[in-house]
Amino acid sequence: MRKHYKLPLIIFGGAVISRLVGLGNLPSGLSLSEVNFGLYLSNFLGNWVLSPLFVRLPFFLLGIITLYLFYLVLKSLVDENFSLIATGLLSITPWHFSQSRVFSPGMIVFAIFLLAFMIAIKKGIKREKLFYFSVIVSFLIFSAGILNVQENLRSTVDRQRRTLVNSNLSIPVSVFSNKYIESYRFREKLIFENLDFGNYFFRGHPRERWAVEETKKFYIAFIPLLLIGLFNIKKREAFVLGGWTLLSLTLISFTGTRGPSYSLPLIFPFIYVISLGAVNLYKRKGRLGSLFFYSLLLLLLFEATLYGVEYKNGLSEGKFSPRRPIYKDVVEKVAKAKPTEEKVLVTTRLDNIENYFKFYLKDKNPVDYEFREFVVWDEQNNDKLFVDVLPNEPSPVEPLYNEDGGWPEEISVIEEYYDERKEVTIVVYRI
Amino acid sequence: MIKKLNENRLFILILIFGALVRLLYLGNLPLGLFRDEAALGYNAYSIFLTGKDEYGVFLPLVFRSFEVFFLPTYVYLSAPIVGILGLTEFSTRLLSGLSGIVALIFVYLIAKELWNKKVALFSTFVLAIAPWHIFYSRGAFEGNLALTLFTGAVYFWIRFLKKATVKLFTLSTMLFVLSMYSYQAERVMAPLFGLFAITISFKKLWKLRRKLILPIGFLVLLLMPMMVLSFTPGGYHRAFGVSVFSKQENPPGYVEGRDEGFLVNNKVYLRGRQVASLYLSYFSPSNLFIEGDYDQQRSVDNFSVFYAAMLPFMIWGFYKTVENNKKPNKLILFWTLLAPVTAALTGDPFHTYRSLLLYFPLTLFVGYGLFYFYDQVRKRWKLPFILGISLVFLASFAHFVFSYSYLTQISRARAWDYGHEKIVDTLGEIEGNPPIVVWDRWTEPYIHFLFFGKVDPSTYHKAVQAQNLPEDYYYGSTEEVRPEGFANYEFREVSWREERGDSGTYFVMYAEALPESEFNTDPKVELVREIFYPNGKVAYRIVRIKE
Repeated sequence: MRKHYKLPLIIFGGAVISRLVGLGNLPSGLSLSEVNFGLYLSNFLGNWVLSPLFVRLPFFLLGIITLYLFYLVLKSLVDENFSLIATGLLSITPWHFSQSRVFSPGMIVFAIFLLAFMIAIKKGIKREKLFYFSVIVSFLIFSAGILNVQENLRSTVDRQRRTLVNSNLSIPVSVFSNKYIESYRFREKLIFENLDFGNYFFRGHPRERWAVEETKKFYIAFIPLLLIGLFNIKKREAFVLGGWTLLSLTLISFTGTRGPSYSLPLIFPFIYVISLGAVNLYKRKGRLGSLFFYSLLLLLLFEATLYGVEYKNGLSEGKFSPRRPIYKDVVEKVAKAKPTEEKVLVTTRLDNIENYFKFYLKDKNPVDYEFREFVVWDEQNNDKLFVDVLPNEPSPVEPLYNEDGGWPEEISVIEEYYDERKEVTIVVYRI
Repeated sequence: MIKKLNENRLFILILIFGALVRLLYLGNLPLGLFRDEAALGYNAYSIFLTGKDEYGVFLPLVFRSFEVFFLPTYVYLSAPIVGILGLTEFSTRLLSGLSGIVALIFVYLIAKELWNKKVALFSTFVLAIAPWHIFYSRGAFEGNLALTLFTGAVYFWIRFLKKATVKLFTLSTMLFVLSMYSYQAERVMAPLFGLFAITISFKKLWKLRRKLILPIGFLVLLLMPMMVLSFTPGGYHRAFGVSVFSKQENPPGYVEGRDEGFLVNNKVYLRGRQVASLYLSYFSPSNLFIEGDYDQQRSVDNFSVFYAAMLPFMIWGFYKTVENNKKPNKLILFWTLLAPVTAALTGDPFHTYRSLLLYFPLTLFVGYGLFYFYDQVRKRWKLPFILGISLVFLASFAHFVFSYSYLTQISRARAWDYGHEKIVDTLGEIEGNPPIVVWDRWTEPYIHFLFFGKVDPSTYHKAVQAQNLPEDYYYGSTEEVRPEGFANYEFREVSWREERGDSGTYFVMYAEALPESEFNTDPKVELVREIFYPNGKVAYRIVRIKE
């Protein structure tokens, strides 16, 4: 009894502390979704909510709630010991950890899934029925997805048809190259992408999914556990895990999103099977089994520490991370450099910069600020503070271009920032 | 239904269907002739006529063309085919196509030995329509021949497990050795697989030990040249040259600008993770069913190595094979786990050619999975099951045929070195022997000129030997050795600005390297011909500098 009291405390206490420490600063910078979410909340709660900590707090809470729901669900499905092991593993999993610290719609979906599943279990609905229900719902969702043809897919069809314009194959072309076939292929591709363990264990290596923010999801030490677990799934478990996976995958295919957030519900079958593998390996008799188990444990400890260090140093952020830490520095610098009456002109060539200014200034109508595209030499009134941008590869058509590589003589640079993710230089200056 | 049709007849039907899919329009589909194919074809031609390869070396053990080293079986077996049928795309690819058909027989035989005739039929059907096998059977790929030889070796070893005879041992080991002389992956795979096969059949081998002395002695004799060769740069170049450990770059996850330590930039961990990810990428459903090879030349638009609908059957077949602890099943599972090792160590992501050996056991799993589902359904549902599955697979197959035959041929024409035949034809019509310079930065046009020009090997040998090739270049050097030219042809880079005044010279260049603006206002330059890709874009330009 005492043991059961301590372990949950360690797991949940550890999860709360690790997810709360530095929540406003780590990961550094906010994504556009976080900024927009904050601005939306401020409509009801006031401008004081415009802080990274407050924007991320709901997802931190959801992270803890999902941990608890996960614990309850597994306790009902298997037993308390298994549930504690699985919850412990979930709490240290990079995927759940990182999604608990940022704006993540997938965390909401995960919570809804867990809640619905728990209600179904409490109501005594049989697992087979749940499975068949999810198969039917998945089929409907997938079909609806196919019918909902995205605009870019139409252009793919056009391109294919243009390629085959001289082929005199009107019937095969209309059968195999049409918007519904493309829509089907797109949804199918999304499903298979989420079956690719490279994205779960190797952060997209060896094939990076271009323009997709890749988050470290699991530890490599989990791979053998996953394999052992897969061969130890019982039929009744297979119904639950199969139904859950199918539903999660078709939902992802329906939303058409590619990233670590919407696929988060898939963490449930993964952790379940990994825990099953861990328990089976632990119970295995013989020295070799023990040696393997403790070796994996050591590797897991190493990887968890490594991940902690990476996360703290900002190294876990991928090339396509949507967070823009530079914007915070820019806004703070401008606010500091700007005398009370001075006007500020900010270029909208910087993606969504206006929302970031509103957020960090905690002001939804910053009167002294104007946001638009401009060419500084064409401005009538130069008595302003300018926030401008120079692309990575300067060219003579850029207004701030200078052959010597420096800035034009007429401008007095207050600060310049290099945005590595967008590969542009942001400059704050006066004329 | 299957019984009514008679299983043997059904097998023959599938075999004929598979043969047609592999051999129809073989010379024109794929469009173009890839440089490696041209090298295999021309060397076979040269061997048939002179007993020497393109460099004039008598019956070599490794064939070198440009910077590539080919193992010899494909060339030697192709030599009579090319000799009899003439040097064409069809004759060059025929051996690979025939290997593909033989593989259909072996898949049937192996599945029959492992399970039963019905699984064998399902497996043969799956292989007959499998995108990977059709693709590699329709090009001159020595890896496809090696796969068939390896498959034959495994079949005879499975037979040996059931009934140990010297004949089966000899047949199996001979085929293993022959596969080692066919493609690089088998050089690693066959010995490792052989070790495992020996381990699980040790008792049987021990009983036959006296009778096996002679065949083993013969085998060692056959392997000697391979062993000697393995210590020459020409022998190990491919293995080490492409290895992930020989690459200069830091492993993925390495943070530039930070010191190496236990936690950050731990190269042992990062390199280990890289190899693990490369290995596992060969089992990734996304790669196997959707993405395909990263290289344009080795992939088909919209398709990967298997059809997406095969996934559940593959998983189930694999699962059921693992469940059954029979020795032949262990052999197949070991084959599956070992097959991607060599490819994973090369550092390229999902290289389908280097991992060709993997797809054969995976095909068996699909066949077994299909049979399992078929077996489980009630009797009255069996026919609808067969019809339904056939419909889904044949629809996927029809889509594949459409994509492969039309889309891919247009979109990947450049990757398949399309256009050289037309260039050679055009230049062949020119009277006299004016100097012809062929720009060769992006490809190896000389081999296409030899191939399509059907250049007499003896004449070419003299031209090559007259050049200053490095000493011991053949096996002893991994340097790229390219002939500078022959007869009135030169193969090299072109400095257009400097050479545009060379009166009487013909230049053959990629359209991008010689845009229209570079010559259309110059009265001294005459556009002889533009060669177009199937999509209508200009591929090459042949120009002449007027006298």
